[in-house]
Amino acid sequence: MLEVSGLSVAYGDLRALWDLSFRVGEGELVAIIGPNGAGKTTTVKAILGLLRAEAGRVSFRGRQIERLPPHARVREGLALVPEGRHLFPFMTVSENLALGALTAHDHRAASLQEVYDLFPVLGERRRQLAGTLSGGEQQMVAIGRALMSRPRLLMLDEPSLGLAPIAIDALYQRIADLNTQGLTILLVEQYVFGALSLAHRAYVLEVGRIVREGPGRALLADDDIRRAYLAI
Amino acid sequence: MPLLAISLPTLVELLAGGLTLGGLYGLIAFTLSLALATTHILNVAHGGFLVLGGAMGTLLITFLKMDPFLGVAIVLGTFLLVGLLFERAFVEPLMGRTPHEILIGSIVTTFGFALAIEAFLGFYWARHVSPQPSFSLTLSLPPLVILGATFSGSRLIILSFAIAATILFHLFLTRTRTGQEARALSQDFEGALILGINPRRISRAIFALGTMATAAAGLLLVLAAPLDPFDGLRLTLIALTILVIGGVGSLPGALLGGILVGEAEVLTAFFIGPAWSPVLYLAVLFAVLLLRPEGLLGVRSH
Repeated sequence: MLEVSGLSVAYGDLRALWDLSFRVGEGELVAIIGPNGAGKTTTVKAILGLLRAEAGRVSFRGRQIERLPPHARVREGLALVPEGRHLFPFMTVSENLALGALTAHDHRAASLQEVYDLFPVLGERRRQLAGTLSGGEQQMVAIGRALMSRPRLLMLDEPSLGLAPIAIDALYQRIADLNTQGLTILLVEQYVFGALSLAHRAYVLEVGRIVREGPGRALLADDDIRRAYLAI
Repeated sequence: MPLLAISLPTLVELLAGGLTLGGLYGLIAFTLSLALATTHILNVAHGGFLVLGGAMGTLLITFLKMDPFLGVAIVLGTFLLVGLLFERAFVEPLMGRTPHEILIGSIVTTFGFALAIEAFLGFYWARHVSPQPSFSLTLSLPPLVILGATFSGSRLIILSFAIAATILFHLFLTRTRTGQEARALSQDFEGALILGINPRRISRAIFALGTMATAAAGLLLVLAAPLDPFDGLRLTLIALTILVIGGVGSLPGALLGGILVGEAEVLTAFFIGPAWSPVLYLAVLFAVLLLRPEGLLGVRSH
């Protein structure tokens, strides 16, 4: 579904990604893990076109999309739950969600109901300003907003960041459910244990390069990974 | 100064005058502020569009004796187009840069453009229209007298326009898809990009509508008081002051700030002298900056 090859991104003279190649198959849940500053956020931003890549190809559902502006890539079926959520704080929950449906306007009412079914608490707070919600609820709005566009591929950037452990568990259960229902997911995480437990396959990103790849469970059992990321 | 000797009708007339001017100021501050909030462009030539609108209306209606309605329609249509061209020339080249670069870049380029408008207008008018460049319109409308206070017909038109335009902008921002997207861009630019909002489409709409409304405000401003080619930067400064008082991107804030500045201007002009008008509203500006830097109705940015 998504095929990235030779992706290189630089911020001025500072190179963030070096010749990155990976793929996400239809129906898969793929994780990219790695420490802070490894280039995880840079990778998803470049896939969506928020950052300009110096080199590399991004093919999505058989189409080359690396030259398209972000709004055209969203129309192709990509959606991102960004790090830090980027909600519209002075709009209500339902206004935030409605804006997610720009590219799938005809399905807006049905999608909204699906999001409220997935996260009932958002239905209760639909008239509340997004900026006044708790961190976990804001993360739900960010995910719901991304789902409103009925994406083919959902990218999640650090969804566990800043959440209480109990909220992380609930969130990961929802992510697993969405994948079981057939949604393809690219999960970018520092929370290595959760991400590897969930992912079919995973890539390990360090200083802008992919250093390891394999099935999630296998990486979780790997001694190097356990020592470096799980302090075991 | 006869502060206490003033009669009630005169005071009512003064306050109504301040309200009229303030409504217009609020509107032009809001169009400036909306562009700043959604695109990070600070258009220093904003006041120039106001002057150009007034000048074009004067040329068509006073000098070419055109039917006022036709004249107004031509001005509105022209400035809708001017707004689109301005967006293409000054906004498009800065797109994709950081907000800070866009802000600084736009101040430099539109400041140059504002000076060009002044020079062109002063030269053109003196050479082809009249040696004394001054733009004003008069309407032969009967005044309205309420409780001994007289309200001129043109004032009532200005006030109704300011109210109508404010309501229309409010409906645009809350009820239309483009308006919702504009609000989203102003609240979180990257969040808006992620959802598939095309920032160029929004900035075209904002500059087309904003420039048209600003030129219309210019037409009405010259009904109340004459403008000259070099008033543009002064008006930009007034709009900026109001924007700081009211908070960036806030429609009620702009309206409140506009009325404060309008009243301050009219009252100081009457009681102390026109030359002192800027002093009072700049004092208000300093007070707001010291006590509530996010603006009266603005929100603290995080």
